[in-house]
Amino acid sequence: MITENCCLTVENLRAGYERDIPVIENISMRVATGSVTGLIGANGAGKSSLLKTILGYLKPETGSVIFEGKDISGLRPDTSASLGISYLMEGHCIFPGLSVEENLLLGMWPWRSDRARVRSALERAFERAPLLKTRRRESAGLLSGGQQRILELERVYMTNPSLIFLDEPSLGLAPNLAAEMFDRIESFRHEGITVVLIDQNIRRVMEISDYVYVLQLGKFMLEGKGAVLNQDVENIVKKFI
Amino acid sequence: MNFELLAYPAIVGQFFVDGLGRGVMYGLMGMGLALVFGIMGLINFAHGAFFMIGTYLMYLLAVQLGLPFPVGIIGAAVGLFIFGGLLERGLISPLRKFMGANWLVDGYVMTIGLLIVLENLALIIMGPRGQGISSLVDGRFSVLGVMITNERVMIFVAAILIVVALATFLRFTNIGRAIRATSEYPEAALALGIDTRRIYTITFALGSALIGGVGGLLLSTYNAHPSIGSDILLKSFIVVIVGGLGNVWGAMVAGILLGLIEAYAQGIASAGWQNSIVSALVILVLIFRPGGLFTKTITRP
Repeated sequence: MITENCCLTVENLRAGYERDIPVIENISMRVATGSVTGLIGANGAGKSSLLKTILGYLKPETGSVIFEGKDISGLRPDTSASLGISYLMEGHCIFPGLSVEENLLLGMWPWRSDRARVRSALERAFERAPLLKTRRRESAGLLSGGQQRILELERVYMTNPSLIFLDEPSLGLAPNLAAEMFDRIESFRHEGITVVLIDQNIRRVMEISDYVYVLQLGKFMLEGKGAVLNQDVENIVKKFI
Repeated sequence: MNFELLAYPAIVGQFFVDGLGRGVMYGLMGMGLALVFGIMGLINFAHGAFFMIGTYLMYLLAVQLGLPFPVGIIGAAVGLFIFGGLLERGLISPLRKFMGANWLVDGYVMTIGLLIVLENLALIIMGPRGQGISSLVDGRFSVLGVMITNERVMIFVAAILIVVALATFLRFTNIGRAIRATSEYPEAALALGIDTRRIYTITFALGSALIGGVGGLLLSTYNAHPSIGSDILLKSFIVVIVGGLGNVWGAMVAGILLGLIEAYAQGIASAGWQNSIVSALVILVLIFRPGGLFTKTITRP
């Protein structure tokens, strides 16, 4: 169990889509500030449901979620962004009918009245990803899958968050782009951003995560330092995934 | 059929002007319905009742209180904006919250109930007699033998102003962008901090304001009457089906198309034929382009 400064603490969380049929149960976890925490498990293990419960999309039946000392259990999902929590959803989450620039502008929604801040965040996003600047007026739906992922990641990053939830960020990406994505996630840690990561590339998740939780049928079955679990990755996959 | 009339440019022009005027009205009627459906997925059967309230508000403000017509039209729009917003917050939003994914079916039933309640309330409060005015603007002029009333011109200009204002709002304002984003992917909008409940309230209020303002604008054509909403609802549905469900601009184009078809059908054939031809067009659209003529499909990658 991690004992450093906790960015996020989850205690005895239980939630489900139907009453009395929990998809996650007795979930407790600590996410250290500035760390990368991996969540791994088979399809349907409850990884995305856990994120959705922490973020308020699913109402917790029991338990609590503490973010930077503040109880955010059951908060509406639209309030998390203004608290400094960003969420990259599973699958593509751009608005395809809106332009690239409009997609980025919406990333700054909680700060929309501070025009100088929005403009500066937009310019910095364009500096990091010049391709987005070139295609700023085009519909985001016209970008390739990889380019859409870049747009989504910039939209998440431009808000200067303290905690980022990444749900399958490498899904559907070519191997070289997936490798770049994981490098980028590691760079978040160097900038002091806390990351909670779900990805099917289990070996890579274990490599870059400071701490890893293994989820099976809605319960944590195993947890430990990423480097330690990585040594036994084949057994873990056989047993739990 | 009287096809020889088509040999006279002035008559063809007259049909065109009449059809355009009528079509712009249909387009205006359908825009609010299309907006609410496009963003919220809700088919608002109370749409016609909102038009009816708009005509009564215009009548009260402009005729009873003697205020200028533009004040009456704006008053009708503002009144319906507030009324629509309160309805969304008080009835539709709780329904969405408690019924979850199945709320839309309940939403249809609720708006049908609203239509009935509002019509009967109007009957009790305002009585069964129609109330209206002969025209908002007097006068007419002729261009190459085609007679055009000043009122038609005013409605046309008002329609352009409404379309430009709505397009500007949706395209260039933060709320407009959030409305479009919410219509495409509400969960992703939530993740960015957009309060989608508020967006739905604003959208419903905006759709209500549109039809309320249009009710005020068209008071001289459609007198204020408790059951006027049913006719308007039917026309609005036709426009929205032909234009493409949820496509606000498609509704305006479809409205103009229907107006022109009606005018030419009425002129060349006879009164009554226009309804058959329009109904046939709707059936053809439903068979060959069920999504409407101007459907813009947005697929999430």
